[in-house]
Amino acid sequence: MSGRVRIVRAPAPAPAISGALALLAPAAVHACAVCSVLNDDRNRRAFVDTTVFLSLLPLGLIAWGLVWIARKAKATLASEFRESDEDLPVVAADRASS
Amino acid sequence: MRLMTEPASPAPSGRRRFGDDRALGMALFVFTEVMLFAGFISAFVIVRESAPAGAWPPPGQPQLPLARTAINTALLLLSGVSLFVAGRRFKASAGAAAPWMGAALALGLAFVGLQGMEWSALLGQGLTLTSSQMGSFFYVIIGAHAVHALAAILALGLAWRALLARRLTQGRLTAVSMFWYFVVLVWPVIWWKVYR
Repeated sequence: MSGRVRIVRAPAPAPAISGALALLAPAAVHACAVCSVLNDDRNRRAFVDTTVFLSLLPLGLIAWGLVWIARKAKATLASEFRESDEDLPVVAADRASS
Repeated sequence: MRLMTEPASPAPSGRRRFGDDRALGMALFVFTEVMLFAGFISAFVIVRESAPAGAWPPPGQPQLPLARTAINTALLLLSGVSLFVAGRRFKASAGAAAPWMGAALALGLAFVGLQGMEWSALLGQGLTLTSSQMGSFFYVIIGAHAVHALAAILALGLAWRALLARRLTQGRLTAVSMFWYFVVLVWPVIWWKVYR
């Protein structure tokens, strides 16, 4: 034995090619398992609408939550500063002049 | 004239609470539940819109009672308004909130009762969990809402009892209200999408 590593070339990547073709032409190969009636406008519209709805809803909720936290934090900090200001006693250094 | 100031006491050592833990936990829970119902409704819309024109409801299945259920919807919305008023009154005086919270509870119970009657009528008309895709979706979506409504009614009832015993805290009321508002506000969407 020579001890050299034999490099075996893989056969043509048939699955990869067919997968690429499927991606290029999904309608022709009926790649979408649930889009049996995709020619129907109502069905297509429902897919688009629900995709938009399910994409934007969580983002909207998260945005609302962040706005709420920001407002709450602002209010909490403002009240904290107000209270600490109230704690400060007035030193009558220049009472006579006032 | 205020010219000079000096700190009166050292900075407070304890950290201020940002909000009530129960309210925050409930907000997160409601977030996940909103997504659950959004998924249910989206799946239902896809299936309904995939049916050939004129084939919904499927043959042999009853038309869902949109007009009759409007009464239930109104009752539930009124319940939400009632709880909102209770929350406002609670800030002024706990006692003043009790009748409004009781009304919210009673309206919620009326909603669940009427829904139960409607379910038994639909079962009699042949709409079951396995009779069609429409039946499956109907009982899963409306059933999930009913489970939430019952859980929220239980929480509301316990909160009401605590209110009468003068043990209800603002944080607990906020958490329970959040849950109830979710049940109230998700219903019109379900009603309009599923019953129509």
